[in-house]
Amino acid sequence: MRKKILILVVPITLSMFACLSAPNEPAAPTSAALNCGAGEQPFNGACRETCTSNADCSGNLVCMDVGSGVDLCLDYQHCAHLDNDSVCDAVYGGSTSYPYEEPPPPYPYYPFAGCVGDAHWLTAAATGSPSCGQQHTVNRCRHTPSGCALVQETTLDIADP
Amino acid sequence: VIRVAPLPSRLAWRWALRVAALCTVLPLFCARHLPMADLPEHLAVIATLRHYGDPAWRSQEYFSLGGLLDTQYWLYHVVGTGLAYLLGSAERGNVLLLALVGLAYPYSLRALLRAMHMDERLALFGAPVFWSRALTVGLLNFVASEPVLLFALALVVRQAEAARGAEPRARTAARGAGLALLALALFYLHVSSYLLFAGQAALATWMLGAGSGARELLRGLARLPARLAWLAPSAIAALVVVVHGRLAADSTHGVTFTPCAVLLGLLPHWAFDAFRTRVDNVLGWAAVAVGVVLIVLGAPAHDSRERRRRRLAVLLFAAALLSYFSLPATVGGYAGLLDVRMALFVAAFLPLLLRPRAGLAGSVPLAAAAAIAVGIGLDAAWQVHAFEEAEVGHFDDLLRRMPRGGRLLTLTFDPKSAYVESRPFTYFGAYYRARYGGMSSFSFSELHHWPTRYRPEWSPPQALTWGNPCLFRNARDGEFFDFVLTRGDVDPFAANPPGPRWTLIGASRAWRLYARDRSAPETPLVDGESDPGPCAPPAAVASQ
Repeated sequence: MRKKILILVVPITLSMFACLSAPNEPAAPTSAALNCGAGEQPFNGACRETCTSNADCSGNLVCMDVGSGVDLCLDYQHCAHLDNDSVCDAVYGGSTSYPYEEPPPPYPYYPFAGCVGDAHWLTAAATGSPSCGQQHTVNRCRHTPSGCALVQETTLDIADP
Repeated sequence: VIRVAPLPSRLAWRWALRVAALCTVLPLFCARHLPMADLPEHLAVIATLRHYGDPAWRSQEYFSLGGLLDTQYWLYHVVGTGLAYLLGSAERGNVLLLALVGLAYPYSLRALLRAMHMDERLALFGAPVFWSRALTVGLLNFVASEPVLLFALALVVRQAEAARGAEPRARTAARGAGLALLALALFYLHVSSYLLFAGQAALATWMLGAGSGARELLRGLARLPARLAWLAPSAIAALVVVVHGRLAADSTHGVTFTPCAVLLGLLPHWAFDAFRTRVDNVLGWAAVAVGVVLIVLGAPAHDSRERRRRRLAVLLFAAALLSYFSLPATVGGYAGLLDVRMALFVAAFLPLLLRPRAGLAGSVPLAAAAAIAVGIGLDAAWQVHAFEEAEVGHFDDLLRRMPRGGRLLTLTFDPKSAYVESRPFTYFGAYYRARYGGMSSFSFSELHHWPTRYRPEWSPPQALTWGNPCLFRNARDGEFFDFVLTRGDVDPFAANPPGPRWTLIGASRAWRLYARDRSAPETPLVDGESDPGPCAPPAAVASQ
């Protein structure tokens, strides 16, 4: 009897947890969700005003760089960029780790799966007008002719939802 | 001989197993996006099957379905689709299915241990096997086949032992029918698991079904085909799929093997090194050390039947090890990682070699195994949560309010993660197909064995890119797709390549989402020049 109860209770409990942790299917868009008015652009699921400075934005919105040279009025609080890699590991994925290798090698594949660093995203309060779009010099773990190595590159921070 | 511990002790070990099993599946509920490379593709298949008749999803327009005789690769997705109907989405259905599979890892091992009259506390070693590299690479059909194989093997052992006793014929027949179904399920989960099972089932039936002595063993060999008759339905299905199905469709690349020395080095990586943290490595090696202690301090066999079962246990482990070292690395142009994934079975069968003694000499190492199992589950939970928080972030915002049924191309310039060893972002674009229908490329739907395949008229312009973003050419590929999703510090449209123009419509951390701007004129191709693609060095772009 106890076993039968367990067989019922375990899947029901797991189903409840699955419903709590995994998303339901999104509702179908009611209209053309990506069609926005003049001076607006769809961005992250809503129409946003384009801008060149904070003065172009209404209310509490701030003019922010979202990448690709686009500035939009947003209610985000932070800018973010991927910080330095401090380590640079050669990762071994398997005898046929393609498509997980870098760069994709000719067939048949070799176990080297790529160079992997440990950089984490760094956020900073959004300041300036427009805010974000600042250039940062960072160390990146890259595959070089001499193996995996830290290479200096530049990156831009962008608006962080 | 089953040595039965006193009741309080038995209860304690049962609870230890329950806690270990729950800790194993806990990480599955710690994030909306799990760090498993192929997972989004599996979700996409489940969603496509669920909405196949829904015109808004355009699933039927883009894809054809493989049937029972076309592909061996559909049971996981069909069960996932059933659960998706119940719970409302492919993602929910898949999490439930994976959780049931994860829970079954230690309990299927316990079933086998019981069938072999071995110490069932060793089932504690079954829990951590779930968090192997095969799971974080997202080989979900294969991962799901492990508990099915162990349950089936437990039945085989019971069937073989029953053949020597006086069991009612009806019960033997019922067990045979169950075995036939489990063998079919294994075949439709993963061929490699099925092949291993067929070999192990033959070994178990032969060794346990025959008497002792060379002559008896030879006689047992002659009786083997009749005793394995329940394998016939799955063997016929395998034959049909191999000869007439999609497996036969790709014969261009042949078969490749990995050198044994390389495989030996990869064994611990694929057995327990799923995350970039050192914690799983330390705990994995600690589990190996506990196993060694239990072998060294092993209890002696009491009688000839026990000695025979021990020999079988060694042979079952040897078969798993042999499959790891002898299976090909690749078959055809699309089936890969066939050898290294078998590390999961090497780890799964290792506990069969252990013989815990009664008393503290057995209990202390097993308590350590329980602690290790819990530790691996908790570490995985932390890594999964950190992956979601730091690297996935607000990815869902990008896809929010996207139209249904569109065509998305994903260019993952940076597929790597600071948290998992696999490349969890390679197929992340398939979340679009899982939630909104349409198609997302690159997709396994280009592969022969995949249950959903592109209809010829909807195949992407460039075949089999495996998600290599450097192969993108705007003039050729851009026309086909409605959206482009990128990950990494590369803007494929920065140099204004020939072809359609694109507008940024979403961004979150490393992700960018572009929509094709149908109102803007295309960038023309200048005579005599070609598009070097998004990965060309700056000099090539400058000279364009």
